[in-house]
Amino acid sequence: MRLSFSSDHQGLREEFEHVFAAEATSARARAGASSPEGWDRALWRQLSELGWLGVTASEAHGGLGQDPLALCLIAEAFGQRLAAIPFLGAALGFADALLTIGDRSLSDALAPGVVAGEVIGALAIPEHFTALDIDDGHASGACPALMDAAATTHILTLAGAGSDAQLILLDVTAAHRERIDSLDRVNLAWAVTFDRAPSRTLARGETASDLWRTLRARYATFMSFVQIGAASAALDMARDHVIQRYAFGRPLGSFQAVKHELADVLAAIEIARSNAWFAAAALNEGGSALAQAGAAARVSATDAHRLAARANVHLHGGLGVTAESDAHLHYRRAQALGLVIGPSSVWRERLIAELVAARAVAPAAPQLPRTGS
Amino acid sequence: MNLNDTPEEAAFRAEARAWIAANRYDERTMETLKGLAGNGAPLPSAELWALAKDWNARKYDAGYAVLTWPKAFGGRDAPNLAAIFAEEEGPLARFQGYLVITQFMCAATLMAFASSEQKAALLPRIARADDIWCQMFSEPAAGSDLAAVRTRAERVEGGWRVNGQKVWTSGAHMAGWGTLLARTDPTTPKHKGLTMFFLRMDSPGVRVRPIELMSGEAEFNEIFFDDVFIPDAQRLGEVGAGWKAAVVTLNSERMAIGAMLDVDSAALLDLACETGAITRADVRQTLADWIIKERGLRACVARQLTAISEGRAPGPEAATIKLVGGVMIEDMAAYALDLIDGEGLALRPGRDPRRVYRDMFYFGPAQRAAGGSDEVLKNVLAERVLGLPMEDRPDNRLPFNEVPTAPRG
Ligand SMILES: Cc1cc2nc3c(=O)[nH]c(=O)nc-3n(C[C@H](O)[C@H](O)[C@H](O)COP(=O)(O)OP(=O)(O)OC[C@H]3O[C@@H](n4cnc5c(N)ncnc54)[C@H](O)[C@@H]3O)c2cc1C
Repeated sequence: MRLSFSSDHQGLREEFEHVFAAEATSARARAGASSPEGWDRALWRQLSELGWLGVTASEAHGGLGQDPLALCLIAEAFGQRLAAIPFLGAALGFADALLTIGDRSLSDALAPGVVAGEVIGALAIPEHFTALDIDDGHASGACPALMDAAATTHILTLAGAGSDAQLILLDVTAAHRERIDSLDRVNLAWAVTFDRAPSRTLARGETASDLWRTLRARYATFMSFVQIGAASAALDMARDHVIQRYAFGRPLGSFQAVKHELADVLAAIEIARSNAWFAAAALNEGGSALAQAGAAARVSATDAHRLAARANVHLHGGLGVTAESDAHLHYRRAQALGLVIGPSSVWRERLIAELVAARAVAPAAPQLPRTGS
Repeated sequence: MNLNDTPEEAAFRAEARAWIAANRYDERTMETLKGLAGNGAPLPSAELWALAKDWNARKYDAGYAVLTWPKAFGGRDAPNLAAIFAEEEGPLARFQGYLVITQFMCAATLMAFASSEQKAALLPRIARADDIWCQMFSEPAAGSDLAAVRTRAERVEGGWRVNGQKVWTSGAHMAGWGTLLARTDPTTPKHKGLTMFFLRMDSPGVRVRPIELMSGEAEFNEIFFDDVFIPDAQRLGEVGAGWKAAVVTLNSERMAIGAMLDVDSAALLDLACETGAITRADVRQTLADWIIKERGLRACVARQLTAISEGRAPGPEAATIKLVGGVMIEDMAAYALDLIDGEGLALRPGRDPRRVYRDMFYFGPAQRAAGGSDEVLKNVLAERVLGLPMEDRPDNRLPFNEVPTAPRG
């Protein structure tokens, strides 16, 4: 087993970072989120002009034609900054799904728009719909909270189950969106309702659910890189603060309680990074290892990100709980990103269910609890 | 990024698998070795040591021992091959644990500082495990604060006279040789007055006394030095440069990695399935968390191996692996003993596979202390990786014999 990124991949990441770090400041993210549109359309255009919305899209579609490993590192670099753009759903989840679904006419129709920043897709898990009725090429329904939905033009989701399952693509360009009190204050969640939105069924039955599981695990992998980037950003912010702030005649960061809290964060990030790299390798190979690897990456990235964001707020003292400090933006984001494609408990259960099912012997019959609980 | 073997690795794996199948012990012995620490009718320690040496000698004679050693000393400089060999060894891989100090820690120090004649005489015997070595660093008043060692080495005609005491020395009761960190100058600051030596454990004046562990085993020892003579030719490095030599020893993990990761969440999943506890949602969530952490640890080892094989210095992986892995052993042991409920209170007579959780219960705390405690590792991560400032420490400035110590009496 080899787990490392090539220098080409790292070079590409540095190129992206070079542009992105200069533009994606927290002041700009705040301004974008509080603008009437609720997001930073100008930054989105800038990235699309440089090709960064089509990292894995083919050159024929205007993309950079890179492999998914490159996209993993770009995802991490995106995670390191705050930016009010729908990168997560559109440039990671949806862009990757178009390639993975492998329907030529679909990608010919949509991929050029994705690269140009005009088709802005999202993967929404079925649990995030309160209603979804599909009939005859149209769908009506509602998502009470969908991240980055101010900009979303397309939603990919799985409707129904078993033999009734359908992988569907909704065109929500004309949907009604309502500003809500979003937990994340940079990548805002909106309530979306749509009435007879154009809907296209991409797969049915087992094929649809299998495909959906793959798309979801791939998205979880990319997202784990975003979370690791975001966790490192929170850790860096905390570290910089405790080095420069003095108390009791010495830097806060020289106190062992502070050091140890940050060392625990670092260790959690390293475990998460290791799981993410493994998942990236599994994703790149395209085999069945991804199901478990994606779940593991997702859970440990969520743990690490939340731990980092909490430590960062805490080590900023009073400043950490203010609206002025960016610490709360990280704290909110860590909670929100852990929810977008389902909370960790769901991913843990998926992993254990797979492992138990894979065991040769069936589990023993359920027994009554023997202890007090 | 590749989850599979390279062609070279795949060829090595096939070759190793065939060799192991042809050379391993009979079924009964293999069965006894399963989960070594945790077998229900544990072999006496001396027998396990003998098997560990014998297995290593078989490997050496076939060219499979010390695969991580530099080529110049008869290794293959191939941590990846060592990891593959260990995967194929199955329960036999546990024997490497008996030889880590000999083949990695002590050998690394010799490779760096011994004369070429000494290396030629000593290293092949180490590689074959004909000689067991021990590492005499820690003392009653020098553990985490290792540079505080007080065992005194004074110049005499032709060499050094040593007096003092070491403690927690693993394997000293089996060792023919050992490396020794001693104070040669108490009047300079602590890190500067140390010197590294090696000596035969049957040197006159050396007395080894095994210390019983909470598990009932006696794998580490205290050692008393009473006017022990060490020839100056057995000094490793310059006089006063013992700290540097100690750091070489402690950093020899490069050669040791991939050797061991003592967490086994799959066994816990088996247990939960056997007892039926797996139907409980809380058990499923907790087990999933450990499985995920263990996967992370294993991928962390793979990252470290890859970095080394690509000629890069590994980052914070080693400290992370030990820090996270140690606590996990304690947590998992306690959880497993709870899972088997009343039976966790006592083992059944004879062969009880559940002994493994009892052994983990004993082993976790040892793992969290040995070779850099959790707190020391966290300081390393915070200071060396995150760049947080060191604490102000008067002991670094003062002559060693003026550093404050605990009040006596
Ligand atoms: C199974 C086992 C095998 C061993 N084998 C060997 C061997 O072969 N050779 C050898 O030389 N040694 C060996 N050791 C010794 C080992 O290196 C020491 O036990 C270890 O370094 C801790 O030192 P100590 O026992 O003196 O504990 P102490 O240093 O007294 O530490 C006690 C507690 O205080 C904490 N502590 C100490 N300093 C600090 C600090 N600055 N900040 C915060 N917390 C601190 C520690 O983390 C620990 O929890 C072995 C130990 C074990 C458990």
